[in-house]
Amino acid sequence: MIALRRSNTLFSLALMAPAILLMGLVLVVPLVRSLVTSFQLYDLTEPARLTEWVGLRHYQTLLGSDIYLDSWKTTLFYSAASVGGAFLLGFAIALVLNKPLRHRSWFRGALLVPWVLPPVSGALLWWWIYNSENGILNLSLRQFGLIDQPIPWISGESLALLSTIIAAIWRYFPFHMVMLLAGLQTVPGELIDAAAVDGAGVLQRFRHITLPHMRNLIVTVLLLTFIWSFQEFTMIWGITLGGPGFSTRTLNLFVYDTAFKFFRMGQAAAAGAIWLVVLAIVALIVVRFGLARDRSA
Amino acid sequence: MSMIRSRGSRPSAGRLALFGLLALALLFALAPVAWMVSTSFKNAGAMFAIPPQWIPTEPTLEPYAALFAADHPFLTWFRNTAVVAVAAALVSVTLAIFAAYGFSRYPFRRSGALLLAFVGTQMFPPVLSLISIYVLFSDVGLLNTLQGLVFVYVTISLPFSIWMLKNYFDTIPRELEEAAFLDGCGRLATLFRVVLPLMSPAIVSVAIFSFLVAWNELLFALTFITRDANRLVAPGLVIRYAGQYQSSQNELMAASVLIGLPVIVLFIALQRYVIAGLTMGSVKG
Repeated sequence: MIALRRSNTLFSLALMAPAILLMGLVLVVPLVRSLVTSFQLYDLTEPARLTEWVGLRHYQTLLGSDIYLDSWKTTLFYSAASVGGAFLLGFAIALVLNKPLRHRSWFRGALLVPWVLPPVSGALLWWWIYNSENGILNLSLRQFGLIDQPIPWISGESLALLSTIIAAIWRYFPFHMVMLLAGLQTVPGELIDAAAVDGAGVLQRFRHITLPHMRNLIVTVLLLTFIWSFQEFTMIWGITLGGPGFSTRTLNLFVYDTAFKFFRMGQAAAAGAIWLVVLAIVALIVVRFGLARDRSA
Repeated sequence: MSMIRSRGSRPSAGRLALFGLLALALLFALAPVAWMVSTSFKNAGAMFAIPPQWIPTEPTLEPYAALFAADHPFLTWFRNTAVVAVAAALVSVTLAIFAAYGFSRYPFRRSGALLLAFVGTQMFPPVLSLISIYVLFSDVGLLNTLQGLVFVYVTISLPFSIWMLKNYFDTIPRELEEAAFLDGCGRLATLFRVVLPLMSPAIVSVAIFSFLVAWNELLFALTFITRDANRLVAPGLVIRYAGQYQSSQNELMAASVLIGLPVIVLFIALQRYVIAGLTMGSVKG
């Protein structure tokens, strides 16, 4: 670059300024404000005492609340199952699609539909599918004589969470499939072929060549989708509204209800703050220890 | 890809199993969608028919017509959502182009950390930001406005957009810009005349991504807009149709088809760009 170094930095900052300004004003400042709110009463049912300082009281209340702690359990189970399921299914399909295949992009496109469809459509569709009296799932099971009584997919506490997990796997496996397929296609064919010539079987080639080559991609995809699964709203709320009871009340729904149904913004902010800190720590640990350092072959 | 395994003309058992898996996956992915489309063409009676009609025996456009009826807010919702999504895409692309160009061509000492900070905002629990943005918007009069939602959606799509565009800028050789400088072209002019024309796949990807973030979002749209006239389609559908037992699931499915169509069409036309955008920069080579 011919221009002076300092003028380039200013130019650069000028280019970035609108983005920084927008993110700062609309996201960062309110987030900091939220964190401050977690130490204030901020109960909208008592408007006179809104900014009254309560210190760690909200945090203490939460840690002593069964409903709050249950929401963590529900979320962890939901996230592990839905991410794990979507990952495994996505990887399996990616492996199939990685083979020489005619019309591969048609298959890939068709399989992407669940992920591309607007989430509200997907959620309300599964709500309708899971309907115990008239949903296609129970109707089909009855039609083929597999059940006598309707199964309470989302009307009963025991199955509701599992039902949302299935819907989540349906929605998200295509994302895993696309990312992992792209990763599979970067594994050098010559390495695989050389190993085959040396007598390595399919599983061995997979374990010792393919997987290590894809390690960073796998770790990144798993971490990202795990974080996103905590933020899932539509595919749970749209199907069950958080019920029945508290069976599908994940952390996200808990915070939402606390803030917008019970108007306890301070407490909601505290719950959100705990969530942010825990996930940040998890992410830091995973990035630090999970990602292999770049080895340029 | 391995060329060594011999391929006879008869498919092996292993190969059949693989295709069986593919078929099952296709069934899993598409059967619900087929049911959605099928329901959207049924009248009330056919919806509850036993045995269930995967292909309606008497297909009807009633559910669709109901959505376009004068007293149905669907068109209002649709228009509001389209306005917000297009605006969010335009703003996001513009801001992202400038910022990404800076990150790519004019890095400074802390710019790597700054980029990471941008991307790191993806980890903020949206509901946590929601609480204070709600109060902020309420104070400045942005609650219940479409503009307010546009701002929010841009903050959601911007970091990934910047990331994607920066990676794409990085792949464009600098010789082109240097030649332009030698010709006396200014820095901004170079960006617009020399570099941007080469960026169309990435820009399209980013625009679609930002559009979809806005088109698909529910939480903020539900919380920030409570006035019927400004309501978006996702909260509209949930509030009107979900949770309560009604016999209008066919209307609901029709609405779902209608809001899914623009997305599917965009996607089919531009699948290659979208996937390239998704996987670029995250996969080496």
